[in-house]
Amino acid sequence: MTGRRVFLIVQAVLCALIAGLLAAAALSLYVDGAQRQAAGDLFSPMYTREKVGEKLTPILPLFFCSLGMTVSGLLLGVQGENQGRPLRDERLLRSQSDLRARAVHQTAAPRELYLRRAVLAVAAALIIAGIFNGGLTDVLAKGAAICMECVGLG
Amino acid sequence: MDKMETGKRKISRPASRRLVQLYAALLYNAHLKGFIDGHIYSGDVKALCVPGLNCYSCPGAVASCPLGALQNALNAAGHTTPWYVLGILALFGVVLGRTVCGWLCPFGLIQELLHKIPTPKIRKSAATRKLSYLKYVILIVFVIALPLFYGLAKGVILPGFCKYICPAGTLEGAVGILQNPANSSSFFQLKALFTNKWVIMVLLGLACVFCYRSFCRFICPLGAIYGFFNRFALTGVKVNPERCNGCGQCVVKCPMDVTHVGDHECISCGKCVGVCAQGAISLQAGRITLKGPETGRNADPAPVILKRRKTGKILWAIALAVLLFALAWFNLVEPALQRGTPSAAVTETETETAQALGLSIGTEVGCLAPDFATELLSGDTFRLSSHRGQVVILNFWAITCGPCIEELPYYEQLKTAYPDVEILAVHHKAGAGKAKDFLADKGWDHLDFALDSKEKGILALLNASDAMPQTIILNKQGVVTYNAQMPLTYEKLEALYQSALTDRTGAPAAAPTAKPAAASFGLLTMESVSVQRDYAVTVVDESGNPVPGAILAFCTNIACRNSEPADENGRIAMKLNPDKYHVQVIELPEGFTAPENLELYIGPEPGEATLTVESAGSPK
Repeated sequence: MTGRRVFLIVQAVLCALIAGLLAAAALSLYVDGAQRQAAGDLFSPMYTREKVGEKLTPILPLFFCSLGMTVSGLLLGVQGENQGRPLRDERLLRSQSDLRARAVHQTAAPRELYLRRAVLAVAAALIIAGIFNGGLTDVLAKGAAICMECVGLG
Repeated sequence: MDKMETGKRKISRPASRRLVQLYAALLYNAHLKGFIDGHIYSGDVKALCVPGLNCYSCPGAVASCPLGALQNALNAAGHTTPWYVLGILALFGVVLGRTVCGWLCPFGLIQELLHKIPTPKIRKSAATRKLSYLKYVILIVFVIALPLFYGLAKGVILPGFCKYICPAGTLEGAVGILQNPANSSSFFQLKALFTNKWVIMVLLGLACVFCYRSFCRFICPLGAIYGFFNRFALTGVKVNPERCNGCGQCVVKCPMDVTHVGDHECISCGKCVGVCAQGAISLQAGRITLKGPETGRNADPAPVILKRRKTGKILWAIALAVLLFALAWFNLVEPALQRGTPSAAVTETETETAQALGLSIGTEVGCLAPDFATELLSGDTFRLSSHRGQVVILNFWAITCGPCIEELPYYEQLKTAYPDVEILAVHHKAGAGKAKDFLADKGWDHLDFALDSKEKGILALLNASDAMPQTIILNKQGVVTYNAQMPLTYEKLEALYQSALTDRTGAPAAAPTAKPAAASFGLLTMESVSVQRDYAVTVVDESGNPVPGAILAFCTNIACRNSEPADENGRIAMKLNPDKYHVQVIELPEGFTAPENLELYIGPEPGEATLTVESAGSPK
């Protein structure tokens, strides 16, 4: 096994370990909190800044180790295995004529040109209609306050 | 590492695509101030959508996410046809197609950077090609069907993809908000939803390390939408059929699951342009060649090419000027950045009252809430100070906020069960017009509703969070006993009301030996914590003599707990949840005063602290 391969495998293990620990940290905080709440403490928070800090601190050395390896790998020009390697799955390759025929051509076919213009016109009409029917205000209303459930906060 | 075989490629200067990606990410998130002060941008520019996936709850975001806006619009399809968002998506689609994914998506940039981590990589195959159709299923189920069904059939706001999957929302929104110490109270509302989304984000991040753009290829519904336009989009990778010999190297070398150049999986990254030995492929915007065999650095410097390079430099200069303007505007100039502070409207009378009670004015727990007046939807006027002697609940909500609407009936239920409580529900300034129609047929007759506006600035006055819903509960003396941004159940709401009802903070001082009123706990449930730790504060005067009889409050961001009077040694021992507590003075024996600007914290580790109070007549 070459040094490069060892390097890549160690880095892969580190990445998987960090991800596993990050997921496990959240799950353990959640389980602890759920147990406290099930015991009747409705207001006991599952997560606090301190608790999260306690869980994340042990992961930091691994993170910095992985970061250091990534930076040194990039400086040394170590590429990931298969990174940028050509595709070998023949099932994805079409015939030469098919490839040429299906590719999007530099000169758009008349049908595509008409379609493009039609969609542009429809898009402009829809936007104008949306401004007048309150759609624009709806987007502002949603964006102006934090959407708690969108980001997973509540 | 001596045997390490390294590639010949060294770190070179960033490609123009990487620069454009960075530029787009910075432009979308030009409100850098938000990362420092913890507030999101809420100005009028948020009515516009950016082309890429960029969460609009990110503290830096200056415009809305088209995917979030689409789900919101479909949710509201019952009363507003979503013309605007559909038009925006069609416009971006026909002009840019999936070039957005390759060049203008901040989350695409993050995925590519993760893939730079040197590890063994998973190559594309027929299996990944099949998996790439998963995003169309996600588009149909989570982006279209769930919001439409819940909006039309149940009247419930449910942005399915944002709520259950979107890792961009978790990373840019949730982590962006939580990283700021000013939003520490947001931690208290994290539950199963956050845990799920966090795990999804971590797993997708890990997948991106091993598999190029995993989220983009297999999950992203925005890419799926733009993919429909790829065939006839103005901008994209195009082939010159006269030069193409059908060798297929473009498909072989492409990291995406394409079967031919420009298909619905093609993100127009332009990698195939350099791969094509025939010089048949170019990245074009209409008739303009953005990247082609004749625009490379080693290409023949014909006059046309030189002219193009000069034009490119001019365009970069304009782009940088636009970025600088955006940074200045969104961080320094924009009127929406001006937030009110409670002190701005505090009268002298209030200040005197607060000083007499030994409290400060504000909306943090333990502070005296600032007085304000506003017109109600019923036409009456609400003045906070006229409700002293009642427990007052202030609820901040928005029509676009699902959890807000789910919890409003609990307030109605509470008011029905306890008529003495005063409840004012204030709608966010954005979308207030539609809230009036929304409330018309709800029958929540016991609640007082008010609509905020730029002119009124109620939420700004009360230093309300950008996060909805937020609830502030005041005791009979007008002192804040609870302030948090999280949806409440009826049981929690009732417990908080009962707690505020018995809270004596701000009440006229009792004799030093008098026992504090019933329990005097900011939150009843703080008693029943299974894992508690010992905290102690010793109260002494300037000479170090103990001050027996002093009563202190131990406050977190959401609640306070009052202590028993200090013993003969001036010692107050408490068993509390592990947390950081701000110690506040509730009562002191006659002849003693609390130091001005008292900043005493204890915890989260168990420990002891000393509070030195001032005796009357002592030099300050």
